[in-house]
Amino acid sequence: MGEIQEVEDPLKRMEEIFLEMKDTSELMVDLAYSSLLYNNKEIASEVEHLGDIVDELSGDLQHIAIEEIAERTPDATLMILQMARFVDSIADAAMSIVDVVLRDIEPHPILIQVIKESDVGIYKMEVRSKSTLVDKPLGTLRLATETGMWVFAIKRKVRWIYGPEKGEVLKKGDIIFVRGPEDGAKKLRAVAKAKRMSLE
Amino acid sequence: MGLFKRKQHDRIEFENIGVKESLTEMKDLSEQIIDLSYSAILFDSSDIARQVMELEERLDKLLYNVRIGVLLAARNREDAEQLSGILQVASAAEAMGDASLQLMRIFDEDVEFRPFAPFFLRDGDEKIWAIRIYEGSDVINRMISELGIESETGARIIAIKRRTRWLYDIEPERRIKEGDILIVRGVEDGLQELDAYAKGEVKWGKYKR
Repeated sequence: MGEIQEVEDPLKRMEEIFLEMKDTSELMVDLAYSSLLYNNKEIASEVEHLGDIVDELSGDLQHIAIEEIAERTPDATLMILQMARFVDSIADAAMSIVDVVLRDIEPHPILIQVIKESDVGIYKMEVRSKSTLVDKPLGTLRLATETGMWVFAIKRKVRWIYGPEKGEVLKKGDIIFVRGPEDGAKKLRAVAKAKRMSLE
Repeated sequence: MGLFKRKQHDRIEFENIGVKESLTEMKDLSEQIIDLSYSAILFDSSDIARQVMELEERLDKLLYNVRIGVLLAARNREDAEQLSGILQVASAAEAMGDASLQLMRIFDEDVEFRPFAPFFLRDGDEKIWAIRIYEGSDVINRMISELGIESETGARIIAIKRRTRWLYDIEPERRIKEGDILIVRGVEDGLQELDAYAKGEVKWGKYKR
């Protein structure tokens, strides 16, 4: 996630905050379903943490809206606040999904099947040492364009990288968590296992 | 404009489809409804807003299905504890629908600030674009599944505008037609790639996959 920079134009600043909220809420939904699929509390806690971030950003946004914009452009302000509320609700929904995992009860097998059978799948795969993915930054691999798969988290040894940046370099042994279509997942899995060398 | 009517409290018919099927549909719909909500705002489209309303009704109905199915399945406390997780996830999907419906209410507000803040959605990790299919593109008359659009370009089709009609049910067997406007979500370079195919500047080719 990018840093929010101090810029002059408050409307521009609101746009940046909003986009960070939107991206974070989408990451939260992906992570929430993954935490269910893999019954993983670490991922679930991260969703809660991201939820706090969305709350904070939402507060900042409202503050700017009221302090600086409301008088000049009330319609734009109304619009922006409505959209922020929308994102807040999505984030809340993601939080209530991870509640299931954090409650210490094994998720019902139906939930696992639902996630596996839905249109947009979630998969995890290990990057093997001979794979062409190793030592390359995500930005140059263009996985989303070449395979339709979106990397939303990486597990590197004991460390987690959530919402990796374009500059993140993949290492051998990384477990990547991806979202996308099934045929794209197959292709990417073959490349990650070094059974296939090209993403083309 | 009165896009929104007060909710009718008719008795919801219980559809005899399983909990798993209902919840799978809910998960898919909840993702689609979010994309459609952003698209409705981005393209200032009350047609898309109406579709959001329809999907939200469907989500309500499916939630009801899941509730009944789950209640019928619980035999003891342990069952109930595990099953409650299903209810929780179903409610979360339905909450996403509610939030979308709520957002669509701005179409009924007398707001001069239109189109609604599309600049707000310009960036972001993934973007939503409208891509027109031009004569001369070799994707015309080919099936979405045959092309593998999503796995080849990362662009996921949210909706298709065909002449005056909107298509929201994007089945893999659907064929792309000349003049279609695809509403797609994806990363920028993938969207650019798809746009080049759609304009016929680059050939998809027969054996791309």
